[in-house]
Amino acid sequence: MAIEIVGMGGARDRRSIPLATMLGTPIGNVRRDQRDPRSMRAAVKMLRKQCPTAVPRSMRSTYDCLGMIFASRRTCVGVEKNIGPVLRLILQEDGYLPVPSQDALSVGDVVVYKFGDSCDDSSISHVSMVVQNEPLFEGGSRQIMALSQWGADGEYYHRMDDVPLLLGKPAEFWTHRWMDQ
Amino acid sequence: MKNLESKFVEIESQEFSGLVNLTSSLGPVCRAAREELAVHVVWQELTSSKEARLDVFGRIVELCHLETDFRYENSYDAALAVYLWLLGAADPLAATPQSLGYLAAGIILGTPRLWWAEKLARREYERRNFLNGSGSHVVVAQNENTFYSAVDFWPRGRTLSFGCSACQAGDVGSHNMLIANITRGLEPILVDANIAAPKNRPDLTVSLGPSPAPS
Repeated sequence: MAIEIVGMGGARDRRSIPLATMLGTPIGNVRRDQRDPRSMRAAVKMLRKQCPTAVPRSMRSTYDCLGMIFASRRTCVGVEKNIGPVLRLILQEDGYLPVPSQDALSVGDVVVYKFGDSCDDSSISHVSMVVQNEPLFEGGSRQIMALSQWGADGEYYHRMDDVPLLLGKPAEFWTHRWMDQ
Repeated sequence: MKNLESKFVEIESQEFSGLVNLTSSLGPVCRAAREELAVHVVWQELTSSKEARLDVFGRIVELCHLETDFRYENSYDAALAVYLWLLGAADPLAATPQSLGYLAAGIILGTPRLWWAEKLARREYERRNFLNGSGSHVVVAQNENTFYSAVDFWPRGRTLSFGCSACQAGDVGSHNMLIANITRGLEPILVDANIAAPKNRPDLTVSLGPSPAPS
């Protein structure tokens, strides 16, 4: 038994746009409708209580966290039951490289979050993009700031680890920087 | 019902919608909803009373027929998703076509501008067909384009059987169905054999009959 939404997220779905990895593998996606502004305002109010460092950047709900980073805010890429497999595909086929520690993160690098204790890809819950990594004071510990779309509740500028509980904790770091060794 | 009504208000609130929409995939959405007291109370009622199941089903029907601002996603999306999820899980008729969850899923699939509720409705169809062992292939067309895409894609020489969201309560267990809500936002159109025989596919057999053997 299979249930099939004909063309759901694929080329024939008029809610999707052409999107592929660097190697050409198509990436399923669906453009979501904008949510009611009253609902967005309620979400911002609730989330700022949970995450004091978070500053809302945009109240659009038409893209998700993967869509913000890998599809220029045009669409939702996480159309499957969980975002792990599609994220892995993109990281691999777009040539991302692992960053060994968060101290080595640079602006533009990608942070992968996981929820719970499981180590497999099904626990991948969120991605953000690093926008700042500087010491709080000279010689002190670093503060990493990130930008990410929180589900369909808007885009936020936040401390890397200051995200709502449901979005998990930073677990992996990836970069697209190509350094001449 | 009084107890349920107050919980309906909470579940249909903007705050609840904000909570459910915090994640990008279905699993965490259910996880988020499960933490809410109102959801817990509705779940308990649903598992202990048939009347409660009918009340929640009735509420789904009401919400699906409410006018919402066409510029935005249906503002009851989160509530509909949670009601359907709970109803599907609590229904003792889970494996039958008479299941309220199955019927509610059909109504939701015919409602425009939904997100989570639509995803859960698809899942509900999948689960029901798996449980009752019927239907090798359920095809859901979301709009005219995808409906005709289905026709285009259908293997030549194979029968395409179909129904629509208006008639699905009938023989859902014994048919392969194309849920053809041809124009989203309007009344579902009951597709008959005449309209679904596209001129460019004379080889395609279209009928309202028993499902073909699974391939």
